[in-house]
Amino acid sequence: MKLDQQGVSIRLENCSKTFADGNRALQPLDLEIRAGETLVLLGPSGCGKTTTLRMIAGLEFPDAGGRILFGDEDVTRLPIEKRQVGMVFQSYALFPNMSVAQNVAYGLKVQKCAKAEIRQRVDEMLQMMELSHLAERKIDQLSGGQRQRVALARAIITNPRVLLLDEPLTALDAILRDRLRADIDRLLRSLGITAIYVTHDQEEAMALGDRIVVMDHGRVAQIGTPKQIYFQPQSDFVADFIGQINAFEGEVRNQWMTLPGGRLHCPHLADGEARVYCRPEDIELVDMDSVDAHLQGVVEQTQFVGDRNRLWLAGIMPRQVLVESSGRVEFAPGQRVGIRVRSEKMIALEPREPIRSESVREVSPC
Amino acid sequence: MKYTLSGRWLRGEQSARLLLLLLPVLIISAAFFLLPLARLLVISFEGDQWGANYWQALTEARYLSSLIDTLLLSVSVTLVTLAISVVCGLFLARNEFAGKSLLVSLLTFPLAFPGVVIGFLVIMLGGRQGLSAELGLMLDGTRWTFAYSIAGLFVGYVYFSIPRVLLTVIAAAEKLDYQLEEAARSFGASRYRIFRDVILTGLKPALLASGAICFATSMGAFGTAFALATDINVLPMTIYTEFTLGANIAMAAALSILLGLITWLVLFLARMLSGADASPAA
Ligand SMILES: Nc1ncnc2c1ncn2[C@@H]1O[C@H](COP(=O)(O)OP(=O)(O)O)[C@@H](O)[C@H]1O
Ligand SMILES: [Mg+2]
Repeated sequence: MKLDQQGVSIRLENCSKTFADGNRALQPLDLEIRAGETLVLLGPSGCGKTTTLRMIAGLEFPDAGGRILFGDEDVTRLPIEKRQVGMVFQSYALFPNMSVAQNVAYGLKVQKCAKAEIRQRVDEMLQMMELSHLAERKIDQLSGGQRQRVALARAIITNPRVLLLDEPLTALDAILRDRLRADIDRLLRSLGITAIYVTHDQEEAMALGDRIVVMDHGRVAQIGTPKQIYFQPQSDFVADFIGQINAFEGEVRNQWMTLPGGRLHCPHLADGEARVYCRPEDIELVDMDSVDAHLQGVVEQTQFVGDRNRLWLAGIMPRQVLVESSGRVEFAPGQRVGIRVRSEKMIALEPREPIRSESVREVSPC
Repeated sequence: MKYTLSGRWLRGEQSARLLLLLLPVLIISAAFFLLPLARLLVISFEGDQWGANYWQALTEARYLSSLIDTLLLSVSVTLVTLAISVVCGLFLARNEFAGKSLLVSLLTFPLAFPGVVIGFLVIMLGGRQGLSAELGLMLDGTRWTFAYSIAGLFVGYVYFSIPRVLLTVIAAAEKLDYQLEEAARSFGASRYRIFRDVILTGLKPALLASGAICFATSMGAFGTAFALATDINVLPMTIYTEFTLGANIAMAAALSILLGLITWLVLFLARMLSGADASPAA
């Protein structure tokens, strides 16, 4: 099903937000969302994702000087009632006194559609969302996943100009989350609607976003496609926040960086202090006696996760280095291994500040 | 061996223990509720003919008008109290200002007063020497008084009912899910529509519960009426008059039973009509 009204493009210009208590939740922000695109706002808790979303919704207004445009229309001062947006809340915010069908019909009823048309569109929508058999149920008789689908159905049935989703999967358990993520992805793509999706889960962001906006402390840290964000992070924060990453830091001389566990070939770096990052899956394990074993370490800890082993190596950097190997190969703690990092797989960043946490950082959901 | 409510056979020892545990409840309900009520019921049927007292209560103008007046008074007190409390409660729940907690505690002050004191306050307000009388004298030279009538009773009951209802409404309003309103707004719902579909619906259980208490209290309250005037025609006063002046104990008993039954019936109907199916959200 395609919506009658295709999504609009959205532009935020110089939008900052200071709350009544003086708390500046957002620094001046410029953002462009293309028509039909799914944009994900990603960042740790408290970084201003919800505030940004609510400004686009018309539930909060930017400080003086900010402008919000839907297509060519300036909506900066329009409240949510006049913006034609669809909202999906983290807690779903379904009307508890209404049935599933009444919830889905509510927007059309408010907009005074004819009864027959409402019935037909609700039927279609329930069918599309596989909710027909639940039409007469009350909300408290639904599972979390079903509520989620009702919330989506209710938000899109009115053909909004943009669909806004604030952590719609966070309240669900992991298995359901994976399945619904795929459902939402398919839905957004088939609708062709402009969608803004807020999450703190980087996997969710990668899976759903055409582009991702990584946010940090009320600022945009980076905007890019999931691949750009993952493979070309532009700051320590982004490199650290997205997935797991190793940092190598040291003095470069004649294309080689000297590290406690050996040396690293960095043909792309000039002489001097430098830091490079590398994803665990991009590090190759090599034989100890191979000429490629530029770096050597000791397996300190292993974890078998089915398709692969995760190995934490000591002795290469002051902090552990995380590498991955095929799940069929055995490694034991204490074993010495060699690794090699190809320069094209490295992510180079100027050293700006000391690395905050361990070099291997598990990104925990907030 | 005894057969219990839950449908299981218990050994004698066990059922004896159960009986022992139930004893306090049984004694209390027997002593303070069942026995007097049974006695009242028996008395209400005394007289020449079976049920004649009830027939008289429901047909004779004196009693019937008392009954209807009481019912109208209580219904209007309940509705007005609910309306005032919803407006005030929502405002208080949603706005922060200096002195708010002081205001709330002032508003709940009447909780501490017995009905007689409330009557006293109404006289100060609407009696012959009251505020409204002074105002009337100033404006058109006559004393405006309303204290010694059912209007005075109405004012007193509303004043006295507001705290209970208001506190319940504030508590319920604070628990309303704000996002429901935002969801409704996203469809362009008007403020009236949101009030009807989201806020009132969310407050309904609280309004039903506190409204029921307000109604029942107004039906049975006596002290305020007694303080205002002895000829106010509300049912508790009528019962009192029958009992003490008329020494018509059987009639007083019949009216008491009727008062209880009608109150119960109205509360039951209110529950049914307002759709008790709207179960509170899980
Ligand atoms: N209504 C508000 N008043 C004051 N501060 C707020 C308000 N809403 C959010 N904030 C603050 O703004 C910052 C960003 O919040 P939010 O946008 O909710 O973050 P996120 O959704 O990324 O977790 C936080 O520091 C939060 O405490
Ligand atoms: Mg948030």
